[in-house]
Amino acid sequence: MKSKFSRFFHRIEKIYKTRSIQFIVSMAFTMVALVSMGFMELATYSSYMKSSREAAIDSNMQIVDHISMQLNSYIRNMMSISDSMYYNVIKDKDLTKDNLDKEMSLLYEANKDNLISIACISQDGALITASPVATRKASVDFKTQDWFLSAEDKVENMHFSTPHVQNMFESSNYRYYWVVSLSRSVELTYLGIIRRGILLVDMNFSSIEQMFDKLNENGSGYIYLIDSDGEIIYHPNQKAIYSGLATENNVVAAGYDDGDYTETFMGSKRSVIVKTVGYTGWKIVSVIPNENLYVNYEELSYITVIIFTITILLILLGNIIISGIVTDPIRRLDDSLKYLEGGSMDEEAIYFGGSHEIRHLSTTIKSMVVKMRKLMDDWLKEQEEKTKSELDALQSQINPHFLYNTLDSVVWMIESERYKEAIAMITSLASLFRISLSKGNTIITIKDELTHAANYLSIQKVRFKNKFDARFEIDPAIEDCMTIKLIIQPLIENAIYYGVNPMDEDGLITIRGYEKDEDIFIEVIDNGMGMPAPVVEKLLTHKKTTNSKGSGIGLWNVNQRIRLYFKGDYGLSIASEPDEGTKVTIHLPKITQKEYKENQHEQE
Amino acid sequence: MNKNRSVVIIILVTLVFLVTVETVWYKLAEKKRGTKEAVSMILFDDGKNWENLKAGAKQAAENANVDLSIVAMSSENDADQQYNLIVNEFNAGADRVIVAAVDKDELAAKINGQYKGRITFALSSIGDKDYVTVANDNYKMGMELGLRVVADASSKEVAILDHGINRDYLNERKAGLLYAFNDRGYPVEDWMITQDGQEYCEVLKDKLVNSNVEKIIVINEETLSDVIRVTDSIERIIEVYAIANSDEAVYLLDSRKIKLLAFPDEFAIGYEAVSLDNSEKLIQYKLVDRKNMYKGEYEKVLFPFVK
Repeated sequence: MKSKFSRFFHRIEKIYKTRSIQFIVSMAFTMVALVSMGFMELATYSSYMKSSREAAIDSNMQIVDHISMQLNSYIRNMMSISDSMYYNVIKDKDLTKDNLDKEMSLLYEANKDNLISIACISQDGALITASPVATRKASVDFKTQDWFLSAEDKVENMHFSTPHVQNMFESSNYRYYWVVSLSRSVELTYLGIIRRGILLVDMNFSSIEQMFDKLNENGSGYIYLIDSDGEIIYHPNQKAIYSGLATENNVVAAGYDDGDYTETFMGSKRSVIVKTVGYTGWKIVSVIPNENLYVNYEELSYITVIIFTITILLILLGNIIISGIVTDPIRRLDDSLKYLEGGSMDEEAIYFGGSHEIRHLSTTIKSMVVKMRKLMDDWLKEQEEKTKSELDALQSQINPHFLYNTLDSVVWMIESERYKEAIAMITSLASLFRISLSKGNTIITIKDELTHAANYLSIQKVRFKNKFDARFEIDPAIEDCMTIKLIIQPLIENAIYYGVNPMDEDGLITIRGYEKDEDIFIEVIDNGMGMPAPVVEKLLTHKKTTNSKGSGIGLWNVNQRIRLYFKGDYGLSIASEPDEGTKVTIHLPKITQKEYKENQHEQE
Repeated sequence: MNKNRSVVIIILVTLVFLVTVETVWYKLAEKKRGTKEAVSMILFDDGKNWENLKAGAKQAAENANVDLSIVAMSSENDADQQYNLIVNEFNAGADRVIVAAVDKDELAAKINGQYKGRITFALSSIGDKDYVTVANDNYKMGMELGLRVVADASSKEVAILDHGINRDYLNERKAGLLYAFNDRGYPVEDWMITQDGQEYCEVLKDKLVNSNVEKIIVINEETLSDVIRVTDSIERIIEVYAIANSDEAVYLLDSRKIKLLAFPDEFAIGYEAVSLDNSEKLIQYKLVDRKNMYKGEYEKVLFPFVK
């Protein structure tokens, strides 16, 4: 399960990453809108259903209350008839002398719309009197009928029967009446002797039926009446139920207390309101099928669906348009950046437009492009200069004048049979060239550079017939540090040609090397002619100050190469006093051989 | 932007399509809801009281939201007229027709497979593979009544009164009766009296006077009052048994003029015929005497209407 979820999540993530920002924005907005609308629809729907149901229930509750009042009134009326007959007539009469006919008839006539008959029966089942006057059925034994038995059983109460067909009197017109019998035990007086009897008031069931029929006319739900055992007293579908053609949930409804309920019957959900009718214990049951609870449900559903469809699609449409407007500048900016990827450095090709943030982004990118282009140009220029300087330096390796003069000196030595000196000179020359080449490396150790300088000095000392002396005062700690090649020899060359050579007396060239403040300083000091300040100033600014007889590498070249390679404040500084001498200081960063090799390794 | 335009157009087209589909669907559903099934019921006129059948049909129509129309035939009751009426009703827009067939076989032959599934035969219980029938089990009812009569007979002579009206349901009842008597080996006389009114009474009285019949079984309920009038006028006691469901029949039972009544539940026939269930139905009947007629289930069937 977890892996399935994880796979699903990764699939979504993959889709997300491959889609455009417009798609993501529009889908995100649409999903948010959908969820919000869904909640809103659900809330509205629930609220509507609840309100509709409550309204329908309230409305039906009122109807039930009304019919309950009517029924109560009807039943009380019947009970009052019975009470009147008993307490105002029967109790006051001695039946040996009096009869009940007149009063009973009056009472019957006054209520005949709701009555079928009033009768007084003796305890042994004999008909004492009845109204309307009718012939008792000879074959009928009143003592076996339910109304009689109920009244006999509980003498203190009035009893209401379930509806039944009256089976008491002869009828010549084939008419049979459905009645609800109200029976009670009464005391009959015969010459002062009290005997029990039964007073029967047969209520015309059609009165009850008409009461309920009116309510059941409109067809949205129905109301029926049951006794406390669930026996149907009235039901709009009564005949079908009696014939076994239809069913009702009457037995279950008999178990409900007063109130409203939801039940499922025959696969349909419906709301049921139950109210108990006063004295009888009958229950009025109002049934409202769920589809009738909601007014104009189908129409509302249709409108809801239409509105939902239209809204969703309009939201989708709006999201696509708005997300397009929002993301189009981003997309165009993104497209224009592809030119950058392709190598174009034209800032004018960068898209500028859209919102403030996009414009700011465009401006920043353009500025970056300009800076990048300048940096690249500077770098290219630097590389060119470096290359040129190196080339110049390299070219100096094969300066024909120096080589010619040196070889000439070697020839002279050989001719003079000064073989040792010749060998020393050739060796020095070889060493000079070896270090100059340094297998093509630009960076060599200070030790090698000093060896190169020493070789140069030894050659020049011979050539200049030891006119000068050279002294190396090098801190051994710096020998292992790195420097670019061919920086000391040009200074020595200048010290020879411009410093000590013009002197009458012997000159001294000191090469000093030390570490200070974590940097390397190499000084080439001569006690020569010195230079005035204006000349000194020109030396590092003016390119062309090479000595054609020497290596050809000027101070400017050395300075330029140091500055190009090491950046920062590194390079040459010159201090000179006319007739005093000149000191040229090389300022280098301290990079040990180990550090250099590590750096090289990292770059690889 | 072109891509967006395409999407916008697709969305608009989808919107129009969905709204159209939903509207059409709603209108069709609304039309269906408002449409009632039109059912016509064709009843022959034998002087028979169809009150119970009509009441059942109307109740079912109300419950099932059916538009019911009842067509009473003229006194010319034959299969030809019934067939013409059936065709007219369908042409007039009836979705179904219920017919109490004068002669089911003859009518079925005329219909000849047309309107399959749309015609229901009421009262006739002979099965037909093409048409639905809703009826009492007339044969069984006649048989059971016959067996009860035989059981009560005590060697008294019995006669079946036939008014000569050729109706399937009447023929089925009589066949059941005859089977019961034959099965028990009890002799029974078959009196066919086709006269009406006073002539009927005279013929019947004559037969009764000139025979030893003490039990008669009435299968045509329209003759019941005449039969009672005659039996009342004869000195010896004639016990009357009947197959009937009119108020008069119930009254006569209550008055002890009829000893045993086979009561076909025509309310249920009318109800089931109209109900949308549209399946074969055999409706139960009741054998009622004076003792049980006021008992719960019998009372509700014998006295279906509140007067």
